Amino acid sequence: MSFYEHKMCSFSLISNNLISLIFLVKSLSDIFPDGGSIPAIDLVICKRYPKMFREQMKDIVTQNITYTHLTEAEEASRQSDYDMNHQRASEKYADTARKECSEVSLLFYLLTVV
Amino acid sequence: MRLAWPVIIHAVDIILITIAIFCLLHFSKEVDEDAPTEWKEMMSTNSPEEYFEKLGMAEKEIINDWSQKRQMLMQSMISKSIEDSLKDHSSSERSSSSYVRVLVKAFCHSKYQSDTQSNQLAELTIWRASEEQLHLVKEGSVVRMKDLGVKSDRGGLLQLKANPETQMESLPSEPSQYQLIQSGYEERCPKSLIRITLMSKKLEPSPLAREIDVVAILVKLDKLDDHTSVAYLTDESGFVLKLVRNHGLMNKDPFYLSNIDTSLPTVVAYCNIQVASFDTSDHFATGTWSLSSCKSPGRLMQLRREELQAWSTSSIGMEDCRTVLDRINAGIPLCAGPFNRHIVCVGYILGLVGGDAAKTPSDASMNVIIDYGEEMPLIARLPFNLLLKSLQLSHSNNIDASFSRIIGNTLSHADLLDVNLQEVDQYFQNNQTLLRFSLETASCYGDDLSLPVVTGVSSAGVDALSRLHLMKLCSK
Repeated sequence: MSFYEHKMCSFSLISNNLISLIFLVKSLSDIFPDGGSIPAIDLVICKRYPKMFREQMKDIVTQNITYTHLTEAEEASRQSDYDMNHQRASEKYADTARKECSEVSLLFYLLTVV
Repeated sequence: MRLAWPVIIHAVDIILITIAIFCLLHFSKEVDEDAPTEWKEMMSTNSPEEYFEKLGMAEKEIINDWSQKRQMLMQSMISKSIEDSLKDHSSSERSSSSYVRVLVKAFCHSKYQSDTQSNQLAELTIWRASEEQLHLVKEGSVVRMKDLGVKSDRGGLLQLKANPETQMESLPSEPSQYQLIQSGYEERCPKSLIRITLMSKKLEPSPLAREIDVVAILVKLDKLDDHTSVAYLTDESGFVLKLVRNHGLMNKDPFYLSNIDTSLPTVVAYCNIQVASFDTSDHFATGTWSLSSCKSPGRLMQLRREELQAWSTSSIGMEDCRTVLDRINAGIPLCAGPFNRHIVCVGYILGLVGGDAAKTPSDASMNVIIDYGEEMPLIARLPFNLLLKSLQLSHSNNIDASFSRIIGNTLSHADLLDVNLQEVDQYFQNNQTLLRFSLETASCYGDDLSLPVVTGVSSAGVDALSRLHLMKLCSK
């Protein structure tokens, strides 16, 4: 990196910090729900809750969407249930296809023999 | 014809290869419609290999290019067909996004700025938080966030939102403890059972104000049904918190005891428990396990845990825990007394006196005379439905054949005016059963003392009562 590039980088870093300092929101009471996003703010983390999941189930027929909030353990269990159901559906579909396939080959065999 | 099998083979869907073969017959025709004439001519001959050998370099290149393109086209068509078939088969689509909720306050930089506004609380939701973000967002740390989204104001609490792209960085200099306190940060602190009981009796309207952390001794576990479990917690004060959790059928350890056979009593620490209204029937403070509730991380509230552990293993602690367990089993609360509006009385029904006519059977009541071991018996109003319950609880299979007749008579005279009191009195005296009554006295002024009303009847736990009585005698 040349001396000039290094200077430019330092300048952009300083200017970024300067911008965030200029627009640093000092109090939460200065924020309005419809006032757009907050450019920069320093926040104290008072309480952190456990990681959660929002499950979205979309009904393919009615297009209705339902949301459920789940804990990590519940999410893991629901996902495995869903995967299991999906696999069962795949197996069922594959069985049907295999059946059709064997019927087609039987027909093909009969035609060639005749 | 060669296929790129890895495209089709999936850990779950190996069976679908069969479908792929079936589909090949159909798709090859469709794909070949767009093939170059060189390919079509080659395929129409009896020996395509010989035809290919006779071709010039340019034609061979065209055929090779098409052969590669054809494979890709067919693979994508087959995959799409399988996906579509599976989609048609399932009735719903599932997706989920992770998020972390955090309560935040604006950091107070200035030494002198400590107005109440600076301590305003907001709820920040970080959607699909990255590992880096999770590492930064720790309780008691200060984070600079850029381009933070603002959602609507919910229940007076400002709602902020962030995503994995939201820039988060720690401050260049470590914030001092003084600055954190100035900003309104309070370290998590477990509430005592005395405090929780008071909170339960006088509930705060805001769910946030009702949220507590607790370190206590778990003395009893109950399973109400497949989906509901109850834990009874106590501490040095002897007060009891009844913690209720609704959980899934498969959850065998709802209170994180790690081993179901853990010998009780045991010290437990839970975070974010919701205090519910005081149970006037059982006389316990109640708490509910919410979605945010969790077992406290190891390092948190460690001092209190060690303190309680030492107490629970001491001889006084062990004796106190056993007494609390006996009280729970006997249904006798610690805080009931002569000046309490809600009291508990254990005794025998001696008889009934008179009845109040009412518009509906549910409003009807009688006066019941209870022998509870004192000089004078206690007279209380017993609602009709509880009279039936008392009759049922006093029922002894081997003694009485008149039970169904009396119950039948009582039921058919729901207004209570025509109930044969002598017959009912006789029944209670023949089937002497120790019962536990929950009583409530209405607030009154002056000398007009109203009769207490029975709000609950259950069988008294004789074993637990005897143990309590013995312990009382020993301590004297």
